[in-house]
Amino acid sequence: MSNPFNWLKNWQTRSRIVPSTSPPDPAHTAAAQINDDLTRNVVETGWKWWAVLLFFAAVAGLGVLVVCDQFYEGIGIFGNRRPEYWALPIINFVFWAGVALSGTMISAILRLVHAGWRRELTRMTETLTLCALAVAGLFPLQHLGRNWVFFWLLPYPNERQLWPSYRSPLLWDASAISVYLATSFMFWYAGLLPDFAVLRDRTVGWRHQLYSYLCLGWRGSDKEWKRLRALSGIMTVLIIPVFVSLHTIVGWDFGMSIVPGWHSSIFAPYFVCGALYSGCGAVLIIMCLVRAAFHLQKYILPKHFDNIGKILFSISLLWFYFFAGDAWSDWFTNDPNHVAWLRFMFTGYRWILATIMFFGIVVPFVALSFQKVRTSPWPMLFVGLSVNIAMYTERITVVIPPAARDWLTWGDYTPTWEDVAVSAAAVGLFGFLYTLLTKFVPIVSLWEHKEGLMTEGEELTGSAHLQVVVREEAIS
Amino acid sequence: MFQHRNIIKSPRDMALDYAANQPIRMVLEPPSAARLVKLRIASFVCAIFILVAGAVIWLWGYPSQKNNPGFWHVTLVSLLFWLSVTQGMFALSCLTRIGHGSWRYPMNRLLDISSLYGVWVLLLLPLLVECRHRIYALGSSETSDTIWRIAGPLAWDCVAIGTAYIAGWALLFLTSLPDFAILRDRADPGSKAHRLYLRLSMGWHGAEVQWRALRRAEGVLVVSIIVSFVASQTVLGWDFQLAAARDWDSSIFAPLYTVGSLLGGAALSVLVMTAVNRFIQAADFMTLRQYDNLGRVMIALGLVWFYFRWCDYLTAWYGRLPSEWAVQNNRVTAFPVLAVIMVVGCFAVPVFGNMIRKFRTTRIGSCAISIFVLIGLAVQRYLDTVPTFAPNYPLSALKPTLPTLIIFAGLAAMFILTYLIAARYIPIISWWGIGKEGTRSAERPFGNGKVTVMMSDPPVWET
Repeated sequence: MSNPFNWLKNWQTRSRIVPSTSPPDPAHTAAAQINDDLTRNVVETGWKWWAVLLFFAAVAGLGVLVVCDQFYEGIGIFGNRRPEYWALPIINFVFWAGVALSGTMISAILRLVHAGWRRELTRMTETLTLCALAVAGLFPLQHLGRNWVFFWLLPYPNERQLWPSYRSPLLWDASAISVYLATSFMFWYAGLLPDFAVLRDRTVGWRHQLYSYLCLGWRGSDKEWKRLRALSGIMTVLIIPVFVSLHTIVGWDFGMSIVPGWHSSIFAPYFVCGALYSGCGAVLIIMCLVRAAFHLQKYILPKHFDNIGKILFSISLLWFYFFAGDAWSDWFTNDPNHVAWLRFMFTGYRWILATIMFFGIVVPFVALSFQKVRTSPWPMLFVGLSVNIAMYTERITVVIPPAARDWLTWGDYTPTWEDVAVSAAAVGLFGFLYTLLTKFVPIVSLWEHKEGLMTEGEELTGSAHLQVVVREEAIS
Repeated sequence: MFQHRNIIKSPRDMALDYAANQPIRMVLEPPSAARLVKLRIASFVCAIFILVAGAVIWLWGYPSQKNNPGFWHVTLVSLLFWLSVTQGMFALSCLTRIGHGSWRYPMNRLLDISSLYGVWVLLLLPLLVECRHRIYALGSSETSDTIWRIAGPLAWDCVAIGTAYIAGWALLFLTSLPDFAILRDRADPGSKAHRLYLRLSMGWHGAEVQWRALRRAEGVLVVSIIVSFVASQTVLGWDFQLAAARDWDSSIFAPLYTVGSLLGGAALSVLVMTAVNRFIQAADFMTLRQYDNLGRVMIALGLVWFYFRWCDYLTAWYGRLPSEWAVQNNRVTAFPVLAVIMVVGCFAVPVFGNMIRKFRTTRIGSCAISIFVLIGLAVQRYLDTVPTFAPNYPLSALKPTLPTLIIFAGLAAMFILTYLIAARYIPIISWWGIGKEGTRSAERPFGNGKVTVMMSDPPVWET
């Protein structure tokens, strides 16, 4: 009987360079196949990719036209009217910032807890973060009115010695977004180095030149791997507080005011939780689309959908707990202002609340209770969509009703077609950026996938082969 | 100090493993004379503390303390503290099951036994309420005479706390069935122990269908316990905070209580694990993995605790609504030392202390951290409840006094006595859990070092 731990002993052999005279090593062949499969999206360009890119570019272009119109006509082209100063631009900002949050978070937290199944998802979720954050960052600028002086938000030296007010949420947002964008980019880029080196070695012409620059001379020495691991560990720990702080600050934009409906101590964790919720939904959508578009069925498995589904299920319960707790405490304290706001929301916005409950609680709760649904990509795509519909609607209830109170009366808000066009353009811009990046980076990490294969094996116990894994702490 | 256990490949290995059978022997074999004396002394001391605390409540507390808010509030805070941390223990046990952490097996039973503390709590709660029922009136004159009304916090407390404990007992009993069966088979036929475990094991003979049913029941109970745990901590948070400070709307309080309870549960688990490991001298059940992982859990919970607490404080500070800021500010300015102890105990020590691997993975270090955490949590319960509940009373009336400290010690003695009694009848470490852990992970030599390999563990409901 063969030693069941042979797979472990072969570990070192697999990482050595196999001389060309030796017979083909199955492990080496498998690695070559992985390289072929996972770099195909970069080296091969079909008409479908161009069609998708142009479609998203056209939708995003509509938004560019509207923003150009805003430069000419002023902010009055949007539906923001007193007392609704924030309205759709800030709803979009909060929504996209939330979507951006989960990408790197999933990657970082799963790394921290050594979840082996993360390896195939990290790259696509981190890319999701970068694209969504780039979209989110545009909305505070759009909302400024005089967009061309956006740099006044930044604490740059100037002749009048004017500095931005540190009490302004705009400054908080600018700081949080820029820090998160920078750290997410570093996190993403560091993990790409070994894959860029593979692309450098497998491409010619301008691509070879490009990846030679991008891989920063990576050649896979022991020292380089050690440094990458150390950097990855540090970044993983650092990025978690950064991502929590980003959405905490977004939550505080509202929670620190004394407006009934916003002034609530739970707003920051509630926003973080809501962001995780919508972000996990977006991850499901991206997983499903990328899997189908790049034929990655061998790599993105039902277990990935299953696990993300379980995470989504837990977050949905937590989100509901915070949501209900906030409403409940407003009601219980019986403060006239809070009660008036609650009454306003539960009458005028009852259908929106019903939409949130249906798409945000009922659909995920029912669908994710069944393993068959959790392991099926296309149903999970609809669950992801459902969650994001709910969360977008929830952002509406967060931003619009509390601001509608003008102290003498209640205001009203109706978006213009320009508002809708810019919101649609955000989806287009996100799709455009993501599609473009899939042309330059392997959307599933090659080295992490191979590393995962080396730590898994089977052990014969009795008459059954059981799946075993090497604990990841042993590697690092 | 810590040793890795041998791999267990068959039931025969398990039967022959001396260490793994130690908890079974502890139940069946009479302790040595020296140990018996120690046990009796410990039980006697605990019983004395409980009786004195009971006498204080019954004879001295009522009716002379009827109008002393400090006495009753501090007493209730003590009870709530013990209730929270014990619930946190078995909730943590359930969470490790849900997360299928393979390190959980030796400590699950130990943590589940904490649910037996609920027997005392459920007996005490009506006693305290009867003595001062107005504490649950929560400032509303309409409700002060109808404390059992369905919408009253007392009803919520009883339902939520009772459900969590009852589900905990069910989990403890069902997961003990295989161990009761082993005790039945090893006890002398016809003996008292044999008759007892014959009844308790409910005909368990280890058939596949029984294991399947057990695993399914365990899954259902684990989910129920987590739900009822969150519900009970949420209700406690609400009725002791939201209702107490009118005009103050701090919606974060329920999750803050829940996280605090889990943090306290983790800290108390470390202490209980260490005590039991010391008591069962022959076996080193609690290895580095348990301490290491509980330390990491405390880091995460300490961070979340601080995040919630900070959001709570900052929202009031920034908004500066008079009623809200008065409550927050009162905690810091009237009790500056206690506020510092709270933050150090609940945040600084568990987070920064556990970040040092040497502290986290040694018994002395992790026990020291855990004691700080428990002190911090007790202070938090006091600060969150007492000054808020009775803002118009002088501080001197709200300070813990000797009788209230005796009651706190009595509640601690109840906890210890619970374990002493339980260890007499239930294997304190799960025999079949140890076997399962042994078959699931092992160290394998690899090159010059060793790597730990483990089987992937599916969630309880899929096993």
